[in-house]
Amino acid sequence: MVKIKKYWTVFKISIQNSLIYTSSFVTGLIFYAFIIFIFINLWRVIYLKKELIAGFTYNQVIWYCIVTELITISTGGNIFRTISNDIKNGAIGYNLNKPYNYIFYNISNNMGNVVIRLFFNAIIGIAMGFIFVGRIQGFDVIYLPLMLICIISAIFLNLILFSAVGLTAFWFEENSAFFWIVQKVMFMGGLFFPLDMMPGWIRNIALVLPFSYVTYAPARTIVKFNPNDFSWMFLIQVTYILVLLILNMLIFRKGVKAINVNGG
Amino acid sequence: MSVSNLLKVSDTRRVSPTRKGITPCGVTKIKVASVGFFYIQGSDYLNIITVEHLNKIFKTKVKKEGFRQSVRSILRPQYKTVKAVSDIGFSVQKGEMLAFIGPNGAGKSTTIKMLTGILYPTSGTIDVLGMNPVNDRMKLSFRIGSVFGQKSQLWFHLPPGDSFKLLGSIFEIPARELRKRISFLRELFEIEDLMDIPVRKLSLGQRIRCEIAGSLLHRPDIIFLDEPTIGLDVVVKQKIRDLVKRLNREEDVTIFLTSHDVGDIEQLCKRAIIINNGEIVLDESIKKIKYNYLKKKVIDVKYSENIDLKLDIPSMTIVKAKDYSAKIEVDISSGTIEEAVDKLMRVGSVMDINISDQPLEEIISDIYQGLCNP
Amino acid sequence: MLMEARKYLRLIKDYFLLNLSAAMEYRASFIIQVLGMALNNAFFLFFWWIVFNNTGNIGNYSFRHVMTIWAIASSAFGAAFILFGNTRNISNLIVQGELDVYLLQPKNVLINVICSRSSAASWGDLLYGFIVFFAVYGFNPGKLMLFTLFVVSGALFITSMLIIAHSFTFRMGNSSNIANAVLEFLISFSIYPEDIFKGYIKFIIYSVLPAGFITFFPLRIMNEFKPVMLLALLLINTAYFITAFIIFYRGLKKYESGNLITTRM
Repeated sequence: MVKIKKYWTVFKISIQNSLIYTSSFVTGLIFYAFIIFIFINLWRVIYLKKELIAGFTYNQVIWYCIVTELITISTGGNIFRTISNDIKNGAIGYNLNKPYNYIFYNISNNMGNVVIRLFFNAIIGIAMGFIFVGRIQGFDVIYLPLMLICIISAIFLNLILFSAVGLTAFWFEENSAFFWIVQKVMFMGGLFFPLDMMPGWIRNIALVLPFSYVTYAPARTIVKFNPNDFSWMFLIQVTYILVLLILNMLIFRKGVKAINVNGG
Repeated sequence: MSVSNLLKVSDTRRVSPTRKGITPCGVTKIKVASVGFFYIQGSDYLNIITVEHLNKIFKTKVKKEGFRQSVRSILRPQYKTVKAVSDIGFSVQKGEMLAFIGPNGAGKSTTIKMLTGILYPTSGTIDVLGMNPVNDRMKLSFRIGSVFGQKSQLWFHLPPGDSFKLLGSIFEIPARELRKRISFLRELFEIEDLMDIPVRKLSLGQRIRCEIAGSLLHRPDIIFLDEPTIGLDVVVKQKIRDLVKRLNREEDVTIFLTSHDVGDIEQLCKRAIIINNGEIVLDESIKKIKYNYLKKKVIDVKYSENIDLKLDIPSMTIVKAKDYSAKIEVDISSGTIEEAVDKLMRVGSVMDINISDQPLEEIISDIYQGLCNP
Repeated sequence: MLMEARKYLRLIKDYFLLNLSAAMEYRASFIIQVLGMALNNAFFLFFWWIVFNNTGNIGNYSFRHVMTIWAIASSAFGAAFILFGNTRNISNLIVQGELDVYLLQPKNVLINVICSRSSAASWGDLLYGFIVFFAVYGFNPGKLMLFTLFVVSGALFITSMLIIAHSFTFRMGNSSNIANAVLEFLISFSIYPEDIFKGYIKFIIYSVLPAGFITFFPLRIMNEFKPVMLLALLLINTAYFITAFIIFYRGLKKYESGNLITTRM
């Protein structure tokens, strides 16, 4: 219990910290609102000609985008940058002899920031959704907690993915290219529109990869909620979280060894 | 500056951009004649820098911590004015080496920045080489050089050689002239071996030498050095001082120096302007400063036996006393050296005695604090 | 006047070459960045391909049209950051007092500042735009000339807007965030079909965030060439650039050369 409590403390402190840097957080908020605004306009024109595209109504597509953007923009790329920089400038050395797990430390340290952004972005996103397209079709308040779980676990998965990419800095000086690539693959995983609109073969590949469980799966589950879909999706999310956590630990251990061999 | 010197300067920079292929005789003379008024004026100048009633006021927005205060500062900003420089005036002569000193935040850098055209004065007049730095910033920059200890004009990721070439083209130095100049400075500053190493890999001392060399490419008439020796070790400091001295002697460059290091000032400058809280406290030759403001002598004395030093003369204070030796300060405004030495002689058998002036550093810090009045 | 222009073109060339050699110091990272940018853009191509597969035209825009504005935007943003790569650092230069170095040199401060850095990664953007252009129009010298012209004018619009946004720093403290937001808005507005915007947004994209002049207006000229429109575009372009200059120089009078930090107690 004590072991977990320290990450909880880190998390609480990081919430306080993120409240101090209001300006970067406000710009993030504006940008989120802006992207949603663009999508509302884009899809409005597209849906002038059709009622239904790949099984999605205008209302559903907009709420879909509100959710996917909410997850990715709230997560941001900070965890990737801190881990990469720690490794590149050698600060990681100070973290090695601390009595915590470096990966967990970073995740909880970022969670504070993420939760704050998530909260405010959600207010904006939900408000815009209500104003422009009305509430989600077939929305049931009972499912709200489950929807929240979808989003939180998606963010968790996203953080762990980015942390793994950050750890590549042990071997690659210029690893931001990897970050871009993962970000863009995420995009193929259904960031801007549901995978259902893509050709079958791409959809099939995307559904196997973890990226679609950050964006597509949770967003689709939320706009077309049924308990069965939710359980499946959540199961896969949790599995991926566990698998990637183990992968992170392995990469980290290997990386630390690599430092020791090269002498930092 | 001799006439031949003037010609040399003019054919590298002053004359219109069609200067290609001008030989040092005939044609150049005509060219010089066409811009001649400039030089006649310039060379007649004894004062190459004149400053009168110069003021600089900074207006800063006051913002307190916290979100509500941030909003308020946007809606109804509150300002606080800071007088960085207030009503100063001085002049500098051609070929002088002048020290401009004062504690942190006294207004040294602000003044230098106004002299070089970086900052706009709030009021007052500045004349540098017959130009007004605000209106003639570009024209002036051809003729002054500057090294700001902390701000580099060299490119971090590239070797100094590359930066020199770039500076050459920024300062419009013809290629052949530039090559000659670089090879001259390279030798003078002993940086031959550094020319191909990226700046990020140089030590601070090496970098500063390259930095100063870079600021001399265009043969400036005045060079402004803002804390050039900051952070350097004793050996490198000495090297830089020697270089600056040589420059002044050989190229007749006027040196305008700010430094915290009294060693720089003592060794290089004949005159110092002391500034505090934006006002000039003192503008005098170093010799005079020492003479007028010297209130204390320091006596180092060594005895042949262990003594217990006790002094009952009010003008004498013990700075340090240990076993056989002691260091005593004598206030010569209230007592005499004779009296002090006499007293010390009577304490025990003196093996060695040495009387020296109070260090300049202390004199200056006394002046800052207003402890000293002539 | 002409001599001056030549001198500045030479300066830009010198900076450009120096930057290139600085980038070559880190060759691997340069190549990775260029490829990363190109890949980044390829994903957007994919996005539009999917959208058009599902929908057909968006307003009056066909896939070809979207590709054209996309190509202009990509190359214009690339060119802006290759030629004037230091524009995005203006705020930091002001706050940290690093404009000093430029003020001590006998060149126009603004031109000297914005040209002195070049973004290596932007080569990917520049090349990508031209590749898309050739994919859409094939080899068409007339259109290619127009395209290149729009890339340059677009780069100047972007640079002007960034200069203006960063110049707020002279008056109100670091405005990097505002400038970054302006950049994001300009990018996002200029790569979606014009027909999805209406009302006051349409007004905005032809005024304070001139995305319309970066891509939409040029697209109209590409579709149907009218010399008057081209002339208008170039005049508006010049007006934006001059405005940016004036705003920067007005602000420069308030430059405090890093003294702000020492006076803030």
